[in-house]
Amino acid sequence: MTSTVLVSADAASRPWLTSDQVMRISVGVYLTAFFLYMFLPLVYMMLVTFNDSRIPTLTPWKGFTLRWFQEMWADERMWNSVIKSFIIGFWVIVLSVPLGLAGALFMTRMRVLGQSFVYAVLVSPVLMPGIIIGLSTLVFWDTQFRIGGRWELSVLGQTSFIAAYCMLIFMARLTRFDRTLEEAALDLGATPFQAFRTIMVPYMRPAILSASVLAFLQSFENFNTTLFTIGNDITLTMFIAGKIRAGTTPALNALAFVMVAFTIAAGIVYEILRRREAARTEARARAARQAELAAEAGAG
Amino acid sequence: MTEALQRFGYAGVGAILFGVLFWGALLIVAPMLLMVDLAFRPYLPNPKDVGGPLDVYTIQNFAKVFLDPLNVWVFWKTIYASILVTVVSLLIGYPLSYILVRAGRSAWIGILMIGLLIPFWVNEILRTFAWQLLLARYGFINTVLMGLGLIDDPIQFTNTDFGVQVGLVYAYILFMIFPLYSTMESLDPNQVDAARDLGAPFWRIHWDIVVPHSKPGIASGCIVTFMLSAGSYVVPELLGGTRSIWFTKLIYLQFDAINWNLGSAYGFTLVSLCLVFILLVMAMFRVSLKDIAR
Amino acid sequence: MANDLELIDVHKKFGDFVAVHGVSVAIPQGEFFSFLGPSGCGKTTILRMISGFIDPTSGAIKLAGRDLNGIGPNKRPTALIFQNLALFPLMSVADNIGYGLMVRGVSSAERRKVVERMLELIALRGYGDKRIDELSGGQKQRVAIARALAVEPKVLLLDEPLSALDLKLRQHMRQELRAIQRSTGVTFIYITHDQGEALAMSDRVAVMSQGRIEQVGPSAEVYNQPQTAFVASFVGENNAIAGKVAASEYGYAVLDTPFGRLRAANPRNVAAGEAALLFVRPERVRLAAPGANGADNVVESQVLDGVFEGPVANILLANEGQQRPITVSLSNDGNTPRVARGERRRITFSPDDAILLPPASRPVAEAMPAEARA
Repeated sequence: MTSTVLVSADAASRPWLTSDQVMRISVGVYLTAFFLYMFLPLVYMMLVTFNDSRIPTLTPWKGFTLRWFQEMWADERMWNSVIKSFIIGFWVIVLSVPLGLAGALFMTRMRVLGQSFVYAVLVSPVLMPGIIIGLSTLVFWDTQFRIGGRWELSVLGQTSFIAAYCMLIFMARLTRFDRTLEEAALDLGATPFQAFRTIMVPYMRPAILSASVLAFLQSFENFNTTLFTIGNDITLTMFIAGKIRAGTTPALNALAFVMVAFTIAAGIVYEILRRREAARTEARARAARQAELAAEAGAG
Repeated sequence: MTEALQRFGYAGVGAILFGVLFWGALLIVAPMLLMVDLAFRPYLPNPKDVGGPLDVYTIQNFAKVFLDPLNVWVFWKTIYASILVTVVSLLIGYPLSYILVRAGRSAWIGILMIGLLIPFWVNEILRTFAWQLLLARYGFINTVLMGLGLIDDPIQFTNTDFGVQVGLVYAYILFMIFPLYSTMESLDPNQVDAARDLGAPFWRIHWDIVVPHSKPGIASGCIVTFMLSAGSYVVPELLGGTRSIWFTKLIYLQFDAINWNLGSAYGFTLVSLCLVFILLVMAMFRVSLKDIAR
Repeated sequence: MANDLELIDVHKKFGDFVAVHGVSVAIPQGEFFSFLGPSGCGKTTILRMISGFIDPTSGAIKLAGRDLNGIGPNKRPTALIFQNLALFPLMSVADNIGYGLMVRGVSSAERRKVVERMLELIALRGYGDKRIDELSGGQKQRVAIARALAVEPKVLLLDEPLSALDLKLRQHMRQELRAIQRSTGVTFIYITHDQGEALAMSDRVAVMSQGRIEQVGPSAEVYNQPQTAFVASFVGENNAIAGKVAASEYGYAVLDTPFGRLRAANPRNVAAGEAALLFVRPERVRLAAPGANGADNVVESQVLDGVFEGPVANILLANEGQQRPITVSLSNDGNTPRVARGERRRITFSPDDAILLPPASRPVAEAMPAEARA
């Protein structure tokens, strides 16, 4: 699919392979190879699901089956772990988004001594190995508050670095915020809270949405931090790790199939929405240009 | 500050400060300080001794870490392999990012980016599992190689350092590509065209224009890739098995054995390693923290 | 008297920098009042102090006799029209206009009525459901005005709102603003660096420089009887001829200049022997018939260049080695004489049209050619 992007066949009359063409062809080969490298493992993992063999492999092919989906579907432990992952993800959103927003507002809208130090502290978890975050969270809460490994602790551990991702998203959007909008709201009589709710929140809504999605996905797939903090609870990631360690049947591939399919579907939906929004913006810009022309005609 | 009060009111400013304090102090700084504190105290199996006369600051945990030749070997291997993974990711990721940026006007760019993002959003553990299937003794790669008659017996890929490195590159290369892509995207394409117009050869354009411009992206990609590789648990666990042990595994084993003090010492060592690497890269590329964490 | 606005010895410092330096002015209700000055003269700071975004360092701002100090911008009966308009991009036109009422808790039915009335006022009926980015520049302008007027402010503050528009639309909006001001009777306080805008719309103009008010008065007064050299050179085109006062005769001062002895009105009573600047408007200078003489000032000089500007044609004259030419504006009325470059011509102007002023004590923004002001 990718090789056609940059290798356009417009060189019929030119001599066989100019240096430009060599470049184009190698770019095409490179892209194709790279995306094969990206997707081949995933596709292979998905195809294995349909082989009627107890070992997850395509060769030898023992016939088409859907029974691994049934086995996966019937696994109650998996469902429990999915539910736990969703609960953790939910609470991580609830904590990370407000904390990230507070951090971003603190960084962009206030002037305080030591601000850049605070910034370094708040983003440090992003540059910290996940298992370090997990173990430090565990030792702190266990020794100080006697809260040992359990899913609530995973929420705290994950939040400490996921909030930093949220903060970075919010800061990127806040630096483009037109402060006169807020001033206009205050000037028209809004209280600070009303101005925040009616101007800032709607402006930040897309960022809040993407931060929430990011927070959930990061939480959902987190392994390192969760490993130390989860105690006896089991998240989906932990469940999968356990399955692989114990040696698994293709029922795990069935699960992988579903998860990858979900991801691809989400990616496609996202792209469609993005294009639709772009088209809408373009339509409004066109309307404005027309209004401009009409005004000119009226004035002249 | 007066402006912030006017904009958010006392309640708003209070909420912001409370959030920053809760997050920074309780979720980041305090746990980290406690880990360091534990690392410098002896392991006391009897809880009654904690806080007692035996509970003094000591470096005996670190002595244990560094006097065990196996630990030291694993430590150096982790560094070496993580650097290798970082360099390979850079070598693969740099041309790819450049191609994507240059294709920026093409209608395909959206699909290409989605194609990059989808593997990124698939669970890391599943991506590693996929490579386990490919690299297995009778997995896809060995089957193909034997089918082609290139080898007679399957090659041992899993449970080797090589297998771990392949898996790490696959798992983390996107963390190299995205910062590279975003800095390269901000480069004015006219600069490249101007250089080409002036007759600069392909490699000079990159060495003189694209690489200097992308420095923050390269630095940030290298730091994140190194940090993720050195701190990876899943990939060595699934692809290295018992033969290729990673430093993270040593940490986990100590916690499994309830020796949190020694485990903290291991953890502190890993943090220090990452910190040194970050500072080195920042000095090498002359970039600041704000350039990296974006 | 009811809603008069008063600024009493207002100062504003930002660190060591004095942005506003002892400004006192009283603006009666219903006046169209402009602060005119170059960028950085402190006019925007004054506006932000009146609207409540910043507090004065000292002095008082009073509305209807009540000191506004300490009252937040959201509690002041002022409304501000921002330079970039600051329309809320995520809301419809109607929601923008109704915003001030919404945050005051006015019912939506009541709100809709006001919005309809406002749309009527700005001649945008039926535009309520449009989004902001669907409007043209002039339409956005009018929505911003409607949004501010919807909250029935006592004072409307306008921060160079026309600067983003092109020339034609700007001139049209001047009339429209003036008409809206007359029909609503609201006090308008207008900030601009464009003297044409200020003169055309305002009842009174305050000319500002470096944090101080140089002169306050009706447009014609500020233009015709400038009190300071800054006002004379900043407001409108003006010829400035430097010289030294030689004597006073017949109520006029006599000035020694590179162009010879010239007479001018001396409202500030510059004493003999002191340096002074003589200002005379280009449109008050005429080409003299050869050999003409009389009570008027006469200067003979060489034509440097001619600049055709449409309604007027400007002729620049200077003597050998002089840097600053004198500009003569000739009306393009069909009888404009032809003038050749290099030719020597005599020009003449009445002493009543010339004003003698002391040179600015503070460095006046001298580098202020006509192009930069436009």
